[in-house]
Amino acid sequence: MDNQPIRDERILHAIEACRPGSDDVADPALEFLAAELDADPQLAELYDRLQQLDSKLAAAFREVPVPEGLEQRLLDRLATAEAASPVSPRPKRVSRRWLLAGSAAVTVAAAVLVAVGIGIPGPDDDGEQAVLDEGIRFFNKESAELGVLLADKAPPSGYPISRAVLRLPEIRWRRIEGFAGRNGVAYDLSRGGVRATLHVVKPQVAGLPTRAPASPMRSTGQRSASAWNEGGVLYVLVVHGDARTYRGFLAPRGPLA
Amino acid sequence: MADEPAEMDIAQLVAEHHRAVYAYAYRLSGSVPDAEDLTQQVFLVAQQKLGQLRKAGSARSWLYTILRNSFLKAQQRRRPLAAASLGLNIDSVPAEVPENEEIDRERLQKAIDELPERFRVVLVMFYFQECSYREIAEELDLPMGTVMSRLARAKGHLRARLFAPEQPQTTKQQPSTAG
Repeated sequence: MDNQPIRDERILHAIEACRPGSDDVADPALEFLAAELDADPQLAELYDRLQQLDSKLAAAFREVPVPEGLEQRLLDRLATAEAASPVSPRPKRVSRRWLLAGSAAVTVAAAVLVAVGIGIPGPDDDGEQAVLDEGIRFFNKESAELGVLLADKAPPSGYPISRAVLRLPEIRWRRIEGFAGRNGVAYDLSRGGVRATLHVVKPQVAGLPTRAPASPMRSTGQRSASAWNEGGVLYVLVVHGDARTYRGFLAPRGPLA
Repeated sequence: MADEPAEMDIAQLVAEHHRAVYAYAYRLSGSVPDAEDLTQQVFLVAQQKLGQLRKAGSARSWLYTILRNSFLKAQQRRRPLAAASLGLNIDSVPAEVPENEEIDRERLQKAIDELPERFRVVLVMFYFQECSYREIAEELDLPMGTVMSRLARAKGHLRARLFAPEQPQTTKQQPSTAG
């Protein structure tokens, strides 16, 4: 590493901006770099070396082993989502008249909804995917603290364990805050060396099932999760394992879908 | 191919692009479960917005855009960006390009993970997606100078981690949160 110091930050930035094997140096904005390279053999040598190195790094960036079964898991998840909320067909061209009539109808409908005090669904980042993401994130970052044993002290009222999950003799709980902007309680349902957490928070998320799904709504290689509304609260169950393991944490005769 | 109107269904999209999307997600997120979650998220969004895909030839860059947005959005929800202390580091360019030396995959990902998200995204777009600095600037709506600065600092950090084992810490010539 016997590089000569480059005092001009602009030259260094320009060199670093040139992709390996490209003609980026011919970019009009980098004209000054081309001139410098012509005039300075040491700089040209550094440029060539960096291009070779970048070529190797670019190849290394693309070398990522893909988990086995990923494609099938993706297709399964997409099928579940489609079944829950059918994808609308591709939009067709509509006339201006119909557009105007449609927008007027939407405006009227929105006004009626507001007038009768019906809640309007939250933003996109407050939907099913967001709470599943949050459940898995909380699950991944759970501390080693076990929480309070349920038999010793009851959690705050209003955050009960769902009837849909398997009741265990020793369940621990702890408060959670900032769960997709919500507060509540997390119950540690782990048993037999398998981790599982039931997050109970308010308010609910519109559009979720009203019963615990029999199959996880989200399955990665190591996490299975689902979310549902029940009894005025939002439940997010996250289990370390596949769909079969997930089902093992549901009550045998619970209100399964 | 590039001008063909998009008539793909989601299964076809998954079959053709899930490997590339996953690899991109892995480089950004740095973990297998997160990368799989991100990949799933990308195709769920794609399924909902398939009508917006105009050309089959642009499907992959469309998916990458969804991926970057999902990643950055999730990061914003999780925690504030760490302050960057990345100096310009031309010293990290090895005197000789390692000819037969494999770049250690774990060290590479560890070095990427150490970067703040805004640097990481630019780096992955450069190396993985092969975007020019102009394209990165347009996609991320950033000034070109900012992109060039981030690239230079991020690349310097990467080289320092990969090719300078005797230096455990990144050279911090100009501690800065700029860029």
